[in-house]
Amino acid sequence: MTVQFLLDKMSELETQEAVAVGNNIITYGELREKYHNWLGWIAKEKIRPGEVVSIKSDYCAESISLFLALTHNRNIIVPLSNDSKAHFETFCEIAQNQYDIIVSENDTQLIRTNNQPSHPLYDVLREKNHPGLVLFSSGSTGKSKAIFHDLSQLLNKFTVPRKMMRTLAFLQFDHIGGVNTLLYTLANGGTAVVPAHRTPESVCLAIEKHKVEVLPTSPTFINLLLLSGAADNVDLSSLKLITYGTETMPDSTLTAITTRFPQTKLLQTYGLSEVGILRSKSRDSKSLWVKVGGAEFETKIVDGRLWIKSESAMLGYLNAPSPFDEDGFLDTGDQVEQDGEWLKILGRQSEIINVGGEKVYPAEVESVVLEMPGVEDAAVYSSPHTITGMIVAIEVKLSTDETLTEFKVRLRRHCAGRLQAYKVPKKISLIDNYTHNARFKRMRKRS
Amino acid sequence: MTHNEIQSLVLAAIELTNQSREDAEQVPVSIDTPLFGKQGYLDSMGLVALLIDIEDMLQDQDINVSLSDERAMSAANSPFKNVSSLVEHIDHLLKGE
Repeated sequence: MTVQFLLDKMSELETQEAVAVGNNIITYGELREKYHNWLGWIAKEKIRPGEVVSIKSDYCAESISLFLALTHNRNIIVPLSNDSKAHFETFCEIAQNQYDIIVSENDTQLIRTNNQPSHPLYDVLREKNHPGLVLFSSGSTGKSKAIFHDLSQLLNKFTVPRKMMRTLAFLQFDHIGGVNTLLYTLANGGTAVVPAHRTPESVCLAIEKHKVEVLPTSPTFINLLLLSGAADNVDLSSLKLITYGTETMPDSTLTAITTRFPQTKLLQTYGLSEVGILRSKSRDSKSLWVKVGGAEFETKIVDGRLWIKSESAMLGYLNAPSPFDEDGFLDTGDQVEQDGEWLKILGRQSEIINVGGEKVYPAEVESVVLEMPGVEDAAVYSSPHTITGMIVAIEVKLSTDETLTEFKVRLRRHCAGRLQAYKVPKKISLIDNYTHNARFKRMRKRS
Repeated sequence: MTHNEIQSLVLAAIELTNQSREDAEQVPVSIDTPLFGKQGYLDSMGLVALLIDIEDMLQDQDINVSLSDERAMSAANSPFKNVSSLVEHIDHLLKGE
């Protein structure tokens, strides 16, 4: 499976808007033209199938069409967006890119490296003559892992026609969620809307201007959207669906967003860079219970932890041992509660705080603290303590000018009756900056 | 810090604790108050919170110290028994004994 089905769509919908970046709108016809230009360029530069090529760019018509052209040429693609700028060198070293293509609006730079990649997983794909994709994990739980996908497998699942949507491209193409948004949109003749900046104001303006129907985002961004008031002076009535994933949704944030946007459906998504994005269904907009699966996925729960098997799973890590069990299942590391076919994601096993034998999930505590007036952001982590082994610690960003002592009293009063005593944060620090990373995922401190 | 200063600081920490405790659970602000163990007013969570409050208050005066180190935990007479034993314990720690 290659990009032919996408090209067919481009021919069919020539005048339709494919990508909107700022004020710049690119039709499917223009995208196809750029794609063919890139094919010519690739031939001229003698980039051969199976070679490893990094693309340094954010979403734009050029980078998207180049991505598709390299896919057609069966290259191993390493997309690097500005989100991970600080790690470009490390990522290129791990992926052993032979070409580095730096794409900006009006300019392309091609750099040939001296790398000679010989990873056995690369050979597997080269033998099949399939294109490949290298993505990097955020490294929130340690070193970034290089996740290697068979790109034709990933493309396969988009050949089933689905609804045509105008979708905000929240994440870039170096994140599985960003790749998913892009391919879904192009496969179904929708429009991918790229905001000028990933701020609440900029995202809201893009939604209003381009009549965006779907906003795929994270609970942390939803929280900021509500706090910023950015949605108050714009018309967001086109918004039919907000999806959220990548981290546990605090109850308080879900309640706040459904109250603020009563007409908009909320859907929890579930996916991992390693296995792709699963199809999901929330019990209702206000519920954290979710059904996950889809034709190509199998799930099982072992010791309360979710395991996933997927036809479109990665081939493996480039820089870590294979995480699959003998049946091909991957341990997601997520602790879940089960009610028939419905699941509730409680949090990462690795982030559970064990306070004198009692388990605490950071998201539950954060949710209660985020309810407090004046709390803009909160991130819970575990801190060692000789009396109870671990204690719940929290970093809080306030919009008030309370002292630590004043806030402590208010926090304890608020938490009493809402959380058991062992869940109430004991160590409290006030911070000046938000706790999330460039992709709006809450980064909890590691003790 | 003098012994008296430490004592005032510990009593201030108890007052802080009381601000977020129910009326029926108020801890008497006195050096004789039993804290943890027999007839103690605090459970383990309450004790941890009190110790961290005191550590935060000391940190405000640029004193970095952990009140629940291994030695405190293994001492024959618990330093957390009552307010005066806790004051003694802090005094020893600050003097580096």
